[in-house]
Amino acid sequence: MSAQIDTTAGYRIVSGPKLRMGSVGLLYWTSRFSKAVGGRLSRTILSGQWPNLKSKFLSLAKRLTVFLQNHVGTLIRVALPAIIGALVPLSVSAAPSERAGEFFWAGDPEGGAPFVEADPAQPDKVVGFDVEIADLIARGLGRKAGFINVTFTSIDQSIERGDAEIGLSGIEDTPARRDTMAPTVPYYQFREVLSVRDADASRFRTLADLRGRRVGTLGGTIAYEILLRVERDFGIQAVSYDDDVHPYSDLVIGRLDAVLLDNVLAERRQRALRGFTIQPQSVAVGHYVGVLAARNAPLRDAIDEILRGAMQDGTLESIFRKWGVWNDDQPGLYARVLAGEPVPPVIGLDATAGAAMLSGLEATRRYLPSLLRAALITIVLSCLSMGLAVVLGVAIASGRVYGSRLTRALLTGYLEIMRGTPILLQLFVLYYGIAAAIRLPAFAAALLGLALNYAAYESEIYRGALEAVPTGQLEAARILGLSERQVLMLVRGPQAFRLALAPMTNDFVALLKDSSLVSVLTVLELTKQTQIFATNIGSWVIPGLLCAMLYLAMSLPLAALARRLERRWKRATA
Amino acid sequence: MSSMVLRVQALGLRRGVRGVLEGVTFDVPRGELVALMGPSGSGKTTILRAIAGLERFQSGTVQVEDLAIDSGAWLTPATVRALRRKVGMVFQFHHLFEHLPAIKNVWLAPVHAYGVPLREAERRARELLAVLGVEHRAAALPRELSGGEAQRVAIARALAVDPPLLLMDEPTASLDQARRIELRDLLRGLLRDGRTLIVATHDEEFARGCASRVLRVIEGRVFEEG
Repeated sequence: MSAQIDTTAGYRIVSGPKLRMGSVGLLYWTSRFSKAVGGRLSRTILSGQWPNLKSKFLSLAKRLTVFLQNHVGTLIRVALPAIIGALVPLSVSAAPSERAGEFFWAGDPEGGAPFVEADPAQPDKVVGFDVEIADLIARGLGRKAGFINVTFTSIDQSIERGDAEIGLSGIEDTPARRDTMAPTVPYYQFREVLSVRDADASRFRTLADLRGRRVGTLGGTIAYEILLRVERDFGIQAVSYDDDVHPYSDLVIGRLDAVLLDNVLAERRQRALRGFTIQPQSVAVGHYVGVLAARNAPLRDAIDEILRGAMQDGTLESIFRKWGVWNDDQPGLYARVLAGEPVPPVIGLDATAGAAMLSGLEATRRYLPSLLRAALITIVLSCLSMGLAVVLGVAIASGRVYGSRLTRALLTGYLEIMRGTPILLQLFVLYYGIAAAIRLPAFAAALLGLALNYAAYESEIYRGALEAVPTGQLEAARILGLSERQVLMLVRGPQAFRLALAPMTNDFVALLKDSSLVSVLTVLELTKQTQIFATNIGSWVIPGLLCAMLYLAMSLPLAALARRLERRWKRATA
Repeated sequence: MSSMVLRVQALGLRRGVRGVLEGVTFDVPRGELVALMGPSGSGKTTILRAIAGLERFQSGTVQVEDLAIDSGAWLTPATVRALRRKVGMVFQFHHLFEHLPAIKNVWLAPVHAYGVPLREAERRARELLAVLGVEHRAAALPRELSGGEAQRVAIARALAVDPPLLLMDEPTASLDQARRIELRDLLRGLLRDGRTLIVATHDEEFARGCASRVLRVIEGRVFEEG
């Protein structure tokens, strides 16, 4: 059905399905309300009625309250469906089934040019060679390409669950993908290359030269797999990143000694960042593919045909030339693909040793030690952070209860900033943001970041607990001649601590899980290790179960301990 | 030094616009037990709290032995410290430290505020609990004590720091008849030891049984009873 809404502003909004009526209505009323409030406010300011503003505001607030009281029923009947009506089309529009005929593909604009990046001219549009390949495929299928934004490391899972039909974002051809997904024919050949600081160009030429050194790469890639292998052979320290920008900046400032990544990524980074050299010798050769769910093999075959056609008629060449990544490696690849010769996923890496070839039990046996190591990092990091957060939290809470007006204001400011901004942002600022001034090691930055953030929450718990200790207890202590410091240490503090224990335990369990965020600082903790495990074997089932079990093994005893202490203290306090 | 332990001169205290105490004047000589009597809300507790330095008052002075406290300014930490060594108080609701066993409630202040060695303080605490008849409850936590037991532990705690002047707020409120008689005997014993006590109560019989003098508190004023 179709509905028309005539607004008094003199324009008409035509809405299609009934569901959308709500969203239009809501928009209309929101704009009316903001116009009315804004108009009144600006008139008041312009007419120099500043002193009246407060009373005006109060009377407005009072009238609003009365209005709300009188119209609660109406609001629930009208506003709630309106809000739901506004949200439903948003969520529905993301599902491919809504707009049949569109060819949905998934990519990550964070990967950036030349793959997929937000168009600098129109940030809500994406550009890149993968975008043009998606268009090419869609055209070949007689459909229109529709882009879906998916985090790079989750593209396989997203395709598997049907968010989009194909993933295109510089996705590597790997044994695991061939095993569990339906990848297209390779459309681009790249080389894994080592980048080192200019000063080290003559001494670090190959991985063998990097014994005992830190080498970074993007997690869940062939390059990472290669580094893990040589970690055993050459004693190299593999450092996993969530993006391909920070490895190079960390290389230049000395946190890493080398970066192993695709030549496409390395060359792109070299255009933006000085100070590192790309070694000419390649470590391995890999290919980019589109990835589809295994059940979509027939569609994959159709897409392969389209890609072969584009290899033959030069369309792919012109796309890659346009993005400045065409080179002599590609004609050879295309000749092999067109001749129907098999192209191994990776050249230079023994594919048979890949984790994807292992049985579940064997893979578990192989990955369990690294999962346990990662769990150890998680628990050590969480305990140290919590310890520091408790100390800082006590200091902040004491300052907020006992401090001068200035101290209280400063601490409140700290608290609001730490609580009001995402912890992920704080971690980024601590590790990358201030790296020019203070170069914190990853673990220290992670520890400090978690501690500083949690200290804010802890301090609020302690402040509440301190203020909950009855005045009578404090007076009784003072009258006996104890100093204020002694009152805090001997009476108020211990009693407050008992009150704070339950929420503290809660926070510690939350911290245990929040510690997974520090993987963005290259700390290889449990969740990150699980993700690597899952990417390498191409399934989340076993890694996910093991990961959950390890987290529970850490948090459950803690909760039990807290419950026991609480019971004991409950007996101790009235 | 005069034989007066306490001199209260023209004490006036307001909360906002409401006058709580007005022109309160009385002396307490050493070794006396003075009862402050009056209905609830008459200002008995406030007088005790003002003497103990827990309330700020707007006019008058309170002098405990040679230490005079004037109205107005906040007390300096040094004055407060000096005052705490002269005045002890047993609260109506005891306010025993909830997280500590009875014995530790008693020796906490001697050890931490007076620097008495722990062993010595513990021995003395046990003695006090024995004198008050609650030695067997030494290890119990406050919430495990009956009202009468808590009262005795609170008295022991106040006596442990040995103040020249002991204030007690409604000491009989949580006691039955038998316990009241016990408490009366106990206070008489304290008097024999040369202590000075002020007891706020509205228990007429108790006051007459142990007080050497009774002061009436009516609407924030104090009247001497003949």
